[in-house]
Amino acid sequence: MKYELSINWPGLAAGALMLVLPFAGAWWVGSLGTGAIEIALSPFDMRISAFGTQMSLLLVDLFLLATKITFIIAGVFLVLASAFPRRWWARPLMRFGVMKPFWSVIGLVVTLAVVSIIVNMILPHIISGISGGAAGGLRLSIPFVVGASSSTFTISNATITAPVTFSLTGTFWFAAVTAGVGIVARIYHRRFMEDTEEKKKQR
Amino acid sequence: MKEGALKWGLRLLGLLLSIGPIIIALGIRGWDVKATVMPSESEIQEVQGIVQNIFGEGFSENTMTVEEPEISDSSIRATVHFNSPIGAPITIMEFSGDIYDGDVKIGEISMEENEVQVPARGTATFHLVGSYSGPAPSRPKTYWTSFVVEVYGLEISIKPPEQGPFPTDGGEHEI
Repeated sequence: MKYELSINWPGLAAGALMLVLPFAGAWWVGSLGTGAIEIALSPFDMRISAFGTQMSLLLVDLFLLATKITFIIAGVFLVLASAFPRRWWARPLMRFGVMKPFWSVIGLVVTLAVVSIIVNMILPHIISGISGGAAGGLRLSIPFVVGASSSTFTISNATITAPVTFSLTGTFWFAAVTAGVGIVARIYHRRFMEDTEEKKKQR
Repeated sequence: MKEGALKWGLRLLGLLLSIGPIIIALGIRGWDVKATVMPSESEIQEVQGIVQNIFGEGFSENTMTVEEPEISDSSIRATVHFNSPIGAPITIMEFSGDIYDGDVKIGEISMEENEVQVPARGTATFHLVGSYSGPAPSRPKTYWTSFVVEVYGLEISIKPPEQGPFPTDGGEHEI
């Protein structure tokens, strides 16, 4: 007897994980010193504090809120599409958001890598050019996505050494797992499409 | 046809969620692009005020007072009272100097403790110990050569502009 596929189980799991992900906390944290500057980042939230004072940018906050809303909507769509995979609306709903966790994970890593390259290799030249060499006492060094390093700044007869640490949180790996399950769900959904096409031909 | 309409609806939803934040932010900031993209002047001044409040006016001649040093054999010991102008807890990691008898350097002095914790705008006491060569100094003076503190995990190393006593007035970095 042929087993009839009725529910996209990986899709249900991915949808549930996507509904939890926006509330699971930061994916990446960075700090300068101990409490001098702290950054907690995810595609849904960004918290920056300097000497214990929270800072925010309205435009960034709204973008991140929109991303959170998008993820929640995509998660709901994914759950519906996975529970009723043979309906005509299942495929568009599935495709609306199943790859969003994947691109979010990739996007975060690429963004951090680009920022690291800019700060380590390009920014010192820009500062040197603007200051006409007066910023010779500035040595910027930040880790590449994760790790630890230190930057130094010399002014007059004082030298400030600032340790910098970057790390990925457990929530990032939770997001990576969600992305993986989403990819599996998308591949698995093709079985339903093939199954539906087969039934249409038989009619 | 239904599937096509749904696809377009989902695309519009995505577009709305991408552009919506920009329009809302512009509306809140009175359609001022600069004000939307950059932090407001008041926010910048607030941060500057906080930093200024923490670091205050910096170190001054009232920051440190040194008691009369105790001289015994070939060693010197002095007690230092430190009044922190910093509005955050700091840790004094290193304090070292040179010992002079008149204009002649006779030895070096450094902090006896490994580190000294100082509360925000608080006071702390630590000791400097060192040894000298030659006869007991008649006019011992110590001039600091290195001062390292840690605040918010940042290590700040300060050195005097010139080493040794000043040729005329005894040195602004005498301690």
